[in-house]
Amino acid sequence: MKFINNNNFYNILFFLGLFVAIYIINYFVGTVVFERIVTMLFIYIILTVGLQIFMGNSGILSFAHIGFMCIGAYSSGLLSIPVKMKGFVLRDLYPVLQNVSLDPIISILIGGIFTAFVAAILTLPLMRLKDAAAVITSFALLMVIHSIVVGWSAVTNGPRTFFGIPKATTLEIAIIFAFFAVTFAFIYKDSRFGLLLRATRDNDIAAESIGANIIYLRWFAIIASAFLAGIAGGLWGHFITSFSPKSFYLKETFLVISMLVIGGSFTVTGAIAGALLVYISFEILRWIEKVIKFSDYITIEFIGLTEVILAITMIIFLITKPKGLFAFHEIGDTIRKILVKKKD
Amino acid sequence: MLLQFIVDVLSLGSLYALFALGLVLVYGILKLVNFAYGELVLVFGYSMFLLNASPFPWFFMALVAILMSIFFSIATDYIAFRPVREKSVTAVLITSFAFATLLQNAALLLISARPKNVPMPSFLSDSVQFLSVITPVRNLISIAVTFICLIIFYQFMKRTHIGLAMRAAATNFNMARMLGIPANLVITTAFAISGLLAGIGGTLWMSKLGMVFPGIGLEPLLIAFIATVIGGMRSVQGAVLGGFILAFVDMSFNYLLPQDILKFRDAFTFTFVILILLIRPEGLIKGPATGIRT
Amino acid sequence: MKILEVNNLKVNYGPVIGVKKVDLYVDQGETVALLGANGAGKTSTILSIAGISNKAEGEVIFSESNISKLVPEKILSLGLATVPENRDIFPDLIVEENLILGGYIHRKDKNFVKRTMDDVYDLFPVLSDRKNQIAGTLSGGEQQMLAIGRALMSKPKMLLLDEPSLGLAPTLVVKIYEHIEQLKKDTDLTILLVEQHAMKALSIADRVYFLRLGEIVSSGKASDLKDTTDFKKIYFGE
Repeated sequence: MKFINNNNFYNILFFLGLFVAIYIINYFVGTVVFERIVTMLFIYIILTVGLQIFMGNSGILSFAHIGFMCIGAYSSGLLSIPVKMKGFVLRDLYPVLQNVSLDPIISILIGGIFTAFVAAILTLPLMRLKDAAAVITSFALLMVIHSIVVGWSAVTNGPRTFFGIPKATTLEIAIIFAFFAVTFAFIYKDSRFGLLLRATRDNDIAAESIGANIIYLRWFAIIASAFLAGIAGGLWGHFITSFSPKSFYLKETFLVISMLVIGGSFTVTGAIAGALLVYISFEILRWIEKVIKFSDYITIEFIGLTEVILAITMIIFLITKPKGLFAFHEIGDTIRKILVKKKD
Repeated sequence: MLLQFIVDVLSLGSLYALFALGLVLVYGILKLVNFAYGELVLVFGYSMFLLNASPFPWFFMALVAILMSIFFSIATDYIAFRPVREKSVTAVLITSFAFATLLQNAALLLISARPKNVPMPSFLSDSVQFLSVITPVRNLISIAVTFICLIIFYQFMKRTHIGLAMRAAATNFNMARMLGIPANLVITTAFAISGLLAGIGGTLWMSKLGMVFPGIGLEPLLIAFIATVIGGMRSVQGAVLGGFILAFVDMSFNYLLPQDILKFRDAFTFTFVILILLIRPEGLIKGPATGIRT
Repeated sequence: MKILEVNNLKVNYGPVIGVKKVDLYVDQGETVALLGANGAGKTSTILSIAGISNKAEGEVIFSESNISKLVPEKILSLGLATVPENRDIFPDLIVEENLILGGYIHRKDKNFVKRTMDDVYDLFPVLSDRKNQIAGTLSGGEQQMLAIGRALMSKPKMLLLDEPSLGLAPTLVVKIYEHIEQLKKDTDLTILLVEQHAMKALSIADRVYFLRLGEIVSSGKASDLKDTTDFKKIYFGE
C-alpha cells in the first residue's frame, strides 16, 4: 500500500508550506496576542481534523468529540502538574498519582493514548447503532463524560478550576503536532480503512459484501479521532494552564461542529479551512463583544452575541452550502489539476 | 415504601413520557432528530417569566406560554428543517442544533445569564398523603395530566383524519402524498403537537424548578432523547414506554446508590441504556413495519 | 381527447439515468400498456408522472394542465391516482383505514366516502370480509386489491397501475385482471398500465408502448401486437 499517493503528496506539501508560512508571518508580527491566536488556531486544527476523520468518513455526527478533548486535557494535566502544586490543587488525589510529574509533552502523548483507550471502551457498544440513535447516544456520552468529570473531584477538582498545569505549549510544538495530525488524516482517508468506511457511508450492505466490517471500521475511526481530540485537549490545557469542566461542553461542541460543517466534513482541507475561518471569526466577534462592553456609549452586555451570530451563519451556510466550502476536493487535487493543465 | 416508589416512578415517568412523545412524533414522520426540542421548555419558561408582571391569572399565562412553545416548534420546522430537508440528513441535525444554540444564547443576550424566578401556584408544592405515600400535589397532577394527554392523543391519532394521515405519513410519506394527503399540513401538525406536549411538560417541569435559565432545555432534551432511544425511535408506544423505563432506572439509582456515588447517577443510567441498546439496537418496541408481502 | 401527455421525459437518479427520453399519450377512456423488461424505466416513468421522482427534463400534461412541477398531493386532487409497484399499503393500519385514507380528499363529504367505499367493497368483496383486519397480514393478492381499491377511493379520472401482477401466483393474476376488466366496464376510467407480464397486459389494453433502457422503442395497437411472438427482440433488443 502506498502511503503517500500523488494527490496526498500535494496535500501534505501544501499544508506544510502553509503552516511554515504562518510561522514566519508570526515571527515578523511578533506580538503576544498574535502568537496566542495562531497557537490556538493550530490546536483547533488538530481538534477539527480529528473530528473529520470520524465524521467525514463514517457520515455519522458525533457530539462526543469535546468530551474526548476534556479527557485529554485533564489526564495530561494530571500527569504533568508539578508535585509541589499537586497537593494544593487536588487535595484528595490518590497517592499513586500524587508523586508523579512527567514532562509535559510526554503527558500530552500519554493523555492522548489514554483518551483513545477510554473512547475505545465507551464507544464500542455504540458502533452498531443507526444514524439517529448513534448521534443521540454520542450526545449523551458528552453529557456523561461531563458529569463524571464534575463529580470526580479527587482527580479533577470537580466543577472548580483545575490549575497548575505548566505552560508548555509553544507555537512550534502546536505546529508540529498539527502537521502530524493533518498528515495522518490524509493518509487515513486514502487508506483501505478510510475507503471502506466511506463505502459503508454510502451503502452499507454493498460495502459489507466486499468485506467491510462496519462496526470495527467505525470503531477504529472514532479511536483515532478521540486520540487527536485528546492530544488537542492536552495541548490546550498546557497552553491555557487552568480550566474547568465548563470549557468542554455545549458551546465548544457547537464551535467545533461549525468549523467542520462550514469547512466541509468530507475533506481534510475542509476541516482545516473551517477551523481557520470560524476561529478567526470567533476571535473577532469576541473582540467586538469586549469593545462594546468597555465603550462608554453602550451599557448593555453583549454576552451570547458571538454564539447568536455564529448560529445564524451556520444555518445560512447549511441552507446554501450544505456540504461545506470544500465539499469534495482536497487542495492537493486542485493543485495537481492545475499543474497537469500547465503541462499541456 | 414500595408504594412510594411506584408513585414516584409514575409521576416522573409520566413527565418523561410526555417529553419523549413530543420528540418521537416529529422523528416518526420526518425521520429527523429535533435538537431544538428542549428549547421549547426554555421558550415556555421565559414566556412565563416575561408574563409574570401581567395581571392575568397563572392559568392564562401558562396557556399563552404553551402557545409560544407551539409557535416556536413550528418555527423550528420553517427555519431549521424545511430549507435543508432535501439536502442532507446530517445538515438537518446541525441546523436544529444551531437553532437550539441560537435560542439559548438569545435568552442569554436579551434577558440574562442568571436564573430568573418563575412563581408557580403554591398549591402545587403542597404535600398530599394517602396510604403510606407522601408526595407533592404536582406529582399527582403530572400523572393525571399525562394520562389525559395520552388518551386524547390516542383518540386523535385513531379517529381523526389528520391523525390517520400522520400515521400513514410516518409509515410511508411518499405513498401518503400520492393519496392526496398534504405533506405540509401533516408536518406542521406534528410540530404543533410536539410543541404542545413540550409546553405541557414544561409546565410540569417548571412547577418543580420554579425558575428559568438559559440552559434549562438541556435536561428535557436529554430525557426525550434517551427515552426514545430506549423505547424505540419509530414507535409512539415505545417513546412512552421508554419514558417510564428511564424514570424507573433513574429512581432506582436514586434509591439504591450510596450518597457519594449519587452524583454519578447519570453515568449509571447511561450504562444501563447502552446495555439495552446492545441487545436491541432499535429500541424495545419496533416501529411500523415496512415489510412487503408477496 | 388526450387526457395524459408525456413529452420528452428524462429522469436521473444522481449520475444514473432512469429514463432517457419518453414520449407517450393516453386518450380518455383508453387503457394503455407500458411494457418492458426489468430496469427499463417503467416505474421511474410512473413515479415521475405522479410527482415523486424529479424530472430532469420534459413535461407532463394531465387534463390540459401542466402538472410537471406539481406536488404529488396536488396531482392526486386533479384526478390522477397511482397504485405503485410494491402496492405500498400501510401495513399497520386496518383495511378500512387504508381505504379511508384513499378517500382523503373527499373526507368532508362523509356520505360520498361511504358510498365510494361500498362500491370498492362490491368490486372486491374479499376486502369487505377483512375490513377490520390489519393490512400487513393480508395475502399478496388481497393487498393488491386493497391498493387498487384505495386508489379508487379518490374517484380518479385516471389510474396509473404499476405492475399489478408483481409477485402474484398465476391464478391470482387472472383474478386481478378480471377485476380490472370489471372496473373498466363499470366506469370510464382511463388506465396507464405498467407490466412485465406482456400477454395479460395486452389482453386488456387498447394500445401499447415498449420501453427499453429508458426509451420508447415501439408502440402500436394491442390488437395488432397480440399475435406477435417476437417479444424477446422488443424487450431485449438484438
